[in-house]
Amino acid sequence: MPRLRSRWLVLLLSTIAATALLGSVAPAAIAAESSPSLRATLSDTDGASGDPVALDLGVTGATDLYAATVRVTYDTDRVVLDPAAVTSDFPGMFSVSGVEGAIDFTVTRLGTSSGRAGDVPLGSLGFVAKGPGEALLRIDEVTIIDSALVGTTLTPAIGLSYTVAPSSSVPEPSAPGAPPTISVTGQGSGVSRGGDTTFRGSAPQSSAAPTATSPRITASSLTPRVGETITLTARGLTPDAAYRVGLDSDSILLGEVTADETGSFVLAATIPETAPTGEHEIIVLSRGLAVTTLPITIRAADGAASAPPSSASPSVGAAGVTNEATADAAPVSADSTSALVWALIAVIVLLGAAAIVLMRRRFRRAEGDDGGRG
Amino acid sequence: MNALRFAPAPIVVKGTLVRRTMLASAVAAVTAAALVFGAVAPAHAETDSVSYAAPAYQRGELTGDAKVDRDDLTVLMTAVGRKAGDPGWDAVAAADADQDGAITVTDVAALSKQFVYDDDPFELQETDVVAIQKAMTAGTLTSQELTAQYLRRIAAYDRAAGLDPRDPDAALESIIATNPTAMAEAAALDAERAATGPRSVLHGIPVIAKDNINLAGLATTAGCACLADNVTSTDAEAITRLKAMGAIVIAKANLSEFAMSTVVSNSSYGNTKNAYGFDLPPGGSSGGTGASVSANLGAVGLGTDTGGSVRVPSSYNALVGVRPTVGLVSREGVLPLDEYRDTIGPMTRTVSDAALTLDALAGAAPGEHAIAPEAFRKPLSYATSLDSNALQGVRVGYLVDRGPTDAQTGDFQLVAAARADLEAAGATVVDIASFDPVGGGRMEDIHGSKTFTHGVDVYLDTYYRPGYTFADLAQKVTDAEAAGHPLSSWPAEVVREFASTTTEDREAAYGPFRAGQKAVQDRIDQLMRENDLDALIYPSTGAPDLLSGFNNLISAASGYPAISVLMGAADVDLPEGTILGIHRGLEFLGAPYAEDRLMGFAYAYEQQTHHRQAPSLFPDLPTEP
Repeated sequence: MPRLRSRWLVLLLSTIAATALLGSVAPAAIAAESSPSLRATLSDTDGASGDPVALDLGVTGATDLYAATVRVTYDTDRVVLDPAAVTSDFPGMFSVSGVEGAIDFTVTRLGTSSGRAGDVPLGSLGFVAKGPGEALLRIDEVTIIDSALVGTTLTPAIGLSYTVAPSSSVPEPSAPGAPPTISVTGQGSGVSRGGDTTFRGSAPQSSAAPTATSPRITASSLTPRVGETITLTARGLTPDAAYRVGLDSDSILLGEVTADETGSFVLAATIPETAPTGEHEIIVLSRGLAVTTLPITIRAADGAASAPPSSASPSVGAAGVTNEATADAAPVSADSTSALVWALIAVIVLLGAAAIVLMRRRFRRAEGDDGGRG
Repeated sequence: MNALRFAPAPIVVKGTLVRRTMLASAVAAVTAAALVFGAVAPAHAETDSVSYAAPAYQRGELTGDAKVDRDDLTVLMTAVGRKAGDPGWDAVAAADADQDGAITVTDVAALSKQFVYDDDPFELQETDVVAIQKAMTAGTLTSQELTAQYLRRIAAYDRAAGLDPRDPDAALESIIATNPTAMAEAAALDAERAATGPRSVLHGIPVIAKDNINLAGLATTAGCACLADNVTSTDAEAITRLKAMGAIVIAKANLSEFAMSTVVSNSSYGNTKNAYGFDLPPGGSSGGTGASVSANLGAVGLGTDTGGSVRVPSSYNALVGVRPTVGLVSREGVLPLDEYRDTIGPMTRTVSDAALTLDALAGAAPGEHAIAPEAFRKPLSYATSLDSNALQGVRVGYLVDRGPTDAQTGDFQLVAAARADLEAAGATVVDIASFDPVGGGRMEDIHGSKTFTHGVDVYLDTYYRPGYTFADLAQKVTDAEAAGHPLSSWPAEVVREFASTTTEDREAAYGPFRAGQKAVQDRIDQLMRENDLDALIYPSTGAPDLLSGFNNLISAASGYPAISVLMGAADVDLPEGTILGIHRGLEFLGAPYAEDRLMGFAYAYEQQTHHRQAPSLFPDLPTEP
């Protein structure tokens, strides 16, 4: 039988068939023009045994199509799937699963790639004509998944007719038993590929030159004792600008000063009796922002031991609430001493503890770096 | 405490290029295999995709290679329509995402979402390691393109005045030098990816490293022009490990000279500013890393933390900063400050990036002066802890005396909101009235180990010039200053003081240092034990002003790990007026080698809040024609 067809005629006929059958689609699937709908076309309406025929699938009106499955059923005595003729331009992966006669064509985008919108081609299923008669390819269910993994099920009830002409050769009968399993996967040809890694843009190099304009401060002693007065000399500051000078923190204020017309100042500063010992920083601040610092090591006052913390476990009350006054009190030896000495010690301890508590309250807002640096 | 004690392990001391290469190859082979595939690459492993071990990217993984990719999708997509009880169900049951007993397109889509892949146009601003890998796997981005974009941004923004109208004369000044071999390294890595696939999730990732960490071929200055000729022939161990995973160091970042200050990041190479405003505090000493990573001049950053130098600039620049347990990450090749407290830590825009960077940095065995070496552990990947539900049922202890008072209105509200967010994420917040006393005293009085002079002596002898000492360097600074050409941002007498600690002083300081360290450890252990806590929390920068505060010392003095994650921004009242929008981090501190748990807590908090917003001063550059 001569094949009296042209491509436009085939497409017209098959589209008419599909559109006609869409009349039976569930109302929700076609209620609004913007709703997605399935587009299905056959490449031919008839052929002879052994002829190829392709079912092209797409979705129109998509807004965010991340993945989709199209269920296709067909008469396996008339046509069979040609796994080698399954193709897709969908930018992702595709597959065909199921059994001969009832297959799922599935596509998915990859990773966090966005969903596709508009007229989205899904792919093409290639069949081979087999036995004579009319083969009806039906599409009764389509599931579309958006990027948020929300699914929409369409029931297009599409039927596409393909007639296989009688042939002198006897078609191979279908094997008895369960239909063969279909398993096809591939990567859509619309997937972007790296390939050329030749770089043609610019990549400028940068290197900073040393600068001598940094503000600086130094001191007459870098290892002052608690209570000692030292001379701080700063330069490289903004001329005539006001500065605050603190120890570790703005709250332990060593002085306020205005730079001269050369951007320098000299300040006599006394390390407070309550200052922590060890490694700390003198900080020059302008409107709260540190502009320069000076590492110093504060030593205990002459005659006072710079006692490091012992590793003894401190006393802690219930639920971790510490009794600060008790915990901060200096340990008292338990040697035998006269009652007068004990009373004296008790008074000293109480006064000391009270002083420490007061200092601690004062310094609660004045935490500063650091028993170490960097 | 002899010289060898601080010297790097024999395999890396003045290692030849060949030895370095061998080490790099070994680390690449072993670490990458262990991290990405486990012991042996499975038969199904694809070569053009990467493994990201976060639970959200592993659900339903089918082929046993710890990554969802085309292999897994092939298995699942050919099973669409399969139902529970059907032959072959067990092979795909794990990917039945909606657990309806059937494999449908819903399950396919859910699995595909976990593929580290994205073919949408790549957006550089606020990108992260996984997003970069997605683009590179999809072929929409190469490492060369990304590296070049960052180099162009550095050239355009880092030294440009006029970016911030509030301080128009200032510039960011976060980068000391870019790496002239970065583009060549990127090209080689692109070619390698095309030929044999990515080495790891860090393949082709541009890194900014603080300039006290050795990078072969480029000067390591520690911010002092006196070391402008300190071009080492070897990488620091941490850099070696990053490179083995495929990362590229594209630039060295400014710092407080010699990593000395947690308050500022001033050096011979400029005074680094805050990425959110040049009149805001940058923090120190890793301020260059903090500002540059926050300004999107690189993908991830490395800082060093001795007393708060990773966490303070991370806090002020709205980053995630990790101070690992002392002993988890090798300090070899770092110009030292305190050999018992120095650490290298990630500084990143996300917790996920911090976890992936720490994967590369963390060693396989406890390092020198490791805290609690018997407790050492390293997970397959810290990303396995990145679970949005990680705070469910967790108890965290809030250190009340380390937080703001109600007089500090903005910060107080910030903490109150953080507490509410933690509880909303499933945690129980327990008030701890006071962290002090520590060993009967104040945290302020905890002393360092006085190993700075000795450590720099060893460093200079090993990497700079045999026999060269810190005293020699101080003399160089002194001579230059006398000649009117200063080489240091510190006055020469200060550098001489740095170099002046005697062996006797150092040895005398060790006992008090250890006592202080143990006292802080004991206090943490006690609070955790008595209150049944999983972590302690407190503001990363605890001062009521714009300075670093004292809270960062808890981790530094104990050697226990801590991670700072953005808590938000608050206004701060100062005597001179109110400063608007100071970023504050919330620090989680845990037991030794509990970085994995801390990552989980920080991730869950980050996902609960999503506080970070990109700085507005560094927009996209015009696209090159």
